[in-house]
Amino acid sequence: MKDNYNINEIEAYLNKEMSEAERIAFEQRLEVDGELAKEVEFHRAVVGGIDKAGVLDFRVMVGEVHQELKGEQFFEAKTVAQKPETKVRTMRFGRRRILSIAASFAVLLVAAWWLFLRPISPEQLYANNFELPDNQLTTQIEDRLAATGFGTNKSALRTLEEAMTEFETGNYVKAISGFRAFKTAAPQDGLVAQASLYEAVALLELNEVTEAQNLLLDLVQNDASTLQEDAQWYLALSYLKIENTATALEWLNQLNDSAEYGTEAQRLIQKLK
Amino acid sequence: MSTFSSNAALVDQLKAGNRAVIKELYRIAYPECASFIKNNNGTASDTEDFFQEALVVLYRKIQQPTFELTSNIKTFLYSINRNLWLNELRKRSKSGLKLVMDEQDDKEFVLTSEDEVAEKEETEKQYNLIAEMLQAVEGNCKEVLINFYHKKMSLKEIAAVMGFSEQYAKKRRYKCMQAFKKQVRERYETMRV
Repeated sequence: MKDNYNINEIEAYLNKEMSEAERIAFEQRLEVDGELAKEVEFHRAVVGGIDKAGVLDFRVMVGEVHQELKGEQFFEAKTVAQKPETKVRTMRFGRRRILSIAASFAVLLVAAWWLFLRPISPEQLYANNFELPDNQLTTQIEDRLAATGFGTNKSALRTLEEAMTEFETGNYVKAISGFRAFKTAAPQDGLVAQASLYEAVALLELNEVTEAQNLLLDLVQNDASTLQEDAQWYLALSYLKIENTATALEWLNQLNDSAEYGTEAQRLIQKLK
Repeated sequence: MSTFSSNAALVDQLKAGNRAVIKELYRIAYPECASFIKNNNGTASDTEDFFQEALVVLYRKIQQPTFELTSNIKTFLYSINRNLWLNELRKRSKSGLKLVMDEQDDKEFVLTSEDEVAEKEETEKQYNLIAEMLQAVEGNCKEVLINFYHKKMSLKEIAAVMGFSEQYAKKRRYKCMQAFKKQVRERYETMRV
């Protein structure tokens, strides 16, 4: 191999930067000049080696960054959980929505049963089925506050609005205190029943099961609105929470024909049998 | 939030060998890549090794002149990592391991035979030897050669990065390549003796 060949010319050929005429002329030279042919191959190898050196440099850099991240404990628990069990979701009062979510959830639960062939504890069933209600109140409160109707207790409504904000952000203690303040200030208000339902859910979240159940029972017995079924559902769940399967089943059986809760109630009943 | 304004910025900076980009890619893509491997019989050490390998493949891909990123860089990196791991599983065993497949679109990134089959052993050995020799080159020649032949920077870019005039960059590139080739040639001749 000689080293007196023109690097630029060889590169122009290898990089396909020659004109057609130049390329043909160069290829004719390659055919007759074995040394030139060797030189082209040699040049190609050297460029390949330089490229390889660049990749090796990058690999070293990746290794260094990796070590740095290791030092920062980056790799500890750095994986995405596979289909996590959602515990806190919002829903309720939207009937179509609840049915579809609950139905798919129930299907998932059934699939899990068949896959693992092991019973699910009532506590797990509670965790799997417990969902926070949608905030249906804030809009109603805002509408009421915007209206200047006679007899509207705006201060109480603001208290309720604040309680809902606390509820939504998971500050259940403050939320409960707000719901109670609202009920005391406006015991005859049309939103009292809803406030009680949210209060009961907040109590369940705080593991104050008996208090929650008392409120829910009041709703079931006294409330003539559609909240009765909601209250029954949460009552059933509250008994699952304390692993009282028999009472949970009683409440679920009452929801057997419910358009809103019937399907999920039946699924749960099947699981508990 | 990403410190890089766009995918294109990430690619450009990665091409230039910016260390911060590597960190950024770990941040945005490692968790999902690691989950895929872990969910498919990989160990913690596999997740780390294969992510490093995926970064190298990504780096090599973007150096190709015809490379064009058609998806999000995170998705692209995930595809590389996923394909590398699936190839590894095929290699490791035919024991019928069940793969937890995800919703990744297979068309997104398919390793071609060119990717899968390493360069022929002989060529690879030759490249490694030359690469090793380049590490020992003194002065700024190594940087000039890497910038020009590996990073595919123009002479104008090299001049800007290295503080040269363009004319000097042009001369330097030629001289450095000529000198380096001479070294390699001599080494080859010694090896033949």
